[in-house]
Amino acid sequence: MIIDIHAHLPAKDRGIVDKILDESRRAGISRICNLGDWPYGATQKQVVSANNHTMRFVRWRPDVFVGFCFLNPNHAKSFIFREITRCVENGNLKGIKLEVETNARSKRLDPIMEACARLNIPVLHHAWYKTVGKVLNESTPADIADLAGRHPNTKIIMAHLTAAGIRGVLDIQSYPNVYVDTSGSQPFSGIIEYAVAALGAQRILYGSDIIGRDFSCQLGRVYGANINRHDRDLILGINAKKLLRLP
Amino acid sequence: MIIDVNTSFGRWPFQKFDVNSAQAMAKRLNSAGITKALISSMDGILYPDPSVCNAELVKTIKPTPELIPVPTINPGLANWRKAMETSGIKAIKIIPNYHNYSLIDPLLVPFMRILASKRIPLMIQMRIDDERNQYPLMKIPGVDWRAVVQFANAFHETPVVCLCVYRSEAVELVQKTRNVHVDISFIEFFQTLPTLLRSIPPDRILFGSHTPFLYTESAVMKLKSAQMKAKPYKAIACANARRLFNI
Repeated sequence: MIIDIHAHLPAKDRGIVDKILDESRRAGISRICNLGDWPYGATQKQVVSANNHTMRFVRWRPDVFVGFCFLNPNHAKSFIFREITRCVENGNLKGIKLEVETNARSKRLDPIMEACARLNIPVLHHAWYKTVGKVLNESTPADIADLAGRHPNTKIIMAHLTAAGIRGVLDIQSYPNVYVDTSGSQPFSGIIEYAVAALGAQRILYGSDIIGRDFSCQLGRVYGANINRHDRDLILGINAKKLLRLP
Repeated sequence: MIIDVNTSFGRWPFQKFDVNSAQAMAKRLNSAGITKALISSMDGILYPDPSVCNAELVKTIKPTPELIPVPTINPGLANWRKAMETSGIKAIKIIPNYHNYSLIDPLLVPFMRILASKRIPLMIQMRIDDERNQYPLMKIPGVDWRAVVQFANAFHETPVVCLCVYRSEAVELVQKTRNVHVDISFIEFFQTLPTLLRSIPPDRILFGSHTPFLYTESAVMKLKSAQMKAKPYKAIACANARRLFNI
């Protein structure tokens, strides 16, 4: 069983989504977690639209798609809570996605993290140690560690293992509520082995970051890693199944 | 059969590799279905005289005929002519960004004349890693594809193979020249090869894995998962490399 925890389905191109379904089937991927499709600094209207698309995908193919509710923490708290209620409590989404608009150290994230703990759902948060091209307020793994320390009862999936690098793995090592997904950058060798040794395979989840990436190439980094079969199976799907409480 | 045009052997300060002998390297490639590989010295990227590293590499890989050495030459050094005297060279690699010269520098004119007279293809290592993830005190930008276009058109009689190009660069390089080829190691998008083939012809694309920097399986899976007809598949997997490098 393979679960892709990090996917971005194009909201308005069903033809491409059909191709993604076809390609995922050929790659042996049984579940795909859609994190949404939104611009940087999304407005409330854009957030609602992105989440509507994600919920529609899940309704359309509940056997394949799982969805996360995208939020921009810069929005009013009342809107954020309405959206969590609409999409998670009364809707079909199973987690929260936070991107780059607000740094993970910001107190604006606290009510969202508390809601996630209450609802027992994970937050998937972007992170990257960027030498060049850093976006305003973009979080690093050290920022994620700070967030994890403030909210030890909330499960956090830190995106982009390769982009976190060894330094990022060390940042989150002592926070057992932080998981990491394998997406991000080119499939540089050695980092999966390092993360398995430092965190344990049970804290690593396969993610492709499709549509900007390719299932095959991203799976190749897991199949190519020098790890045992059990650890590989945990990374490819068992961990995500447990975390998302899938049947 | 797959011929890999982009592999390296040696040490690199930012990654640890588990292939520490030529035999282990050949075994790794072979287990991924790669029967022959063009290989360069990793040490020659940073060591001040790459010819020393080229000689070491030739000695190291002697017991493994499936590994074909590609010497790295720095045309800015006084000994570059001597480094080109070796017979039977299948290709020569340059690494302009790490060796600190521009492709429009006049020092390349005599170098390219000799290359043309010997009918040796040129490989340009566009980058080693993702610039976003580089060590902060060693930022090496990728080679500017616009300079490669200018350069390749000026020396159009010599085939040029650009290694580790991004997809957008690959499209520009191939469309704006007649003699530039690209490897697939850094090219990635949903359905990588079918997408790429809509923009550039298969006879300009070569299989390259960038092993051991990247997981070998990622490039292999990228190739094998692409639903291509036999002819373009064979061209990319091996026929183009055979033709270009006379293998």
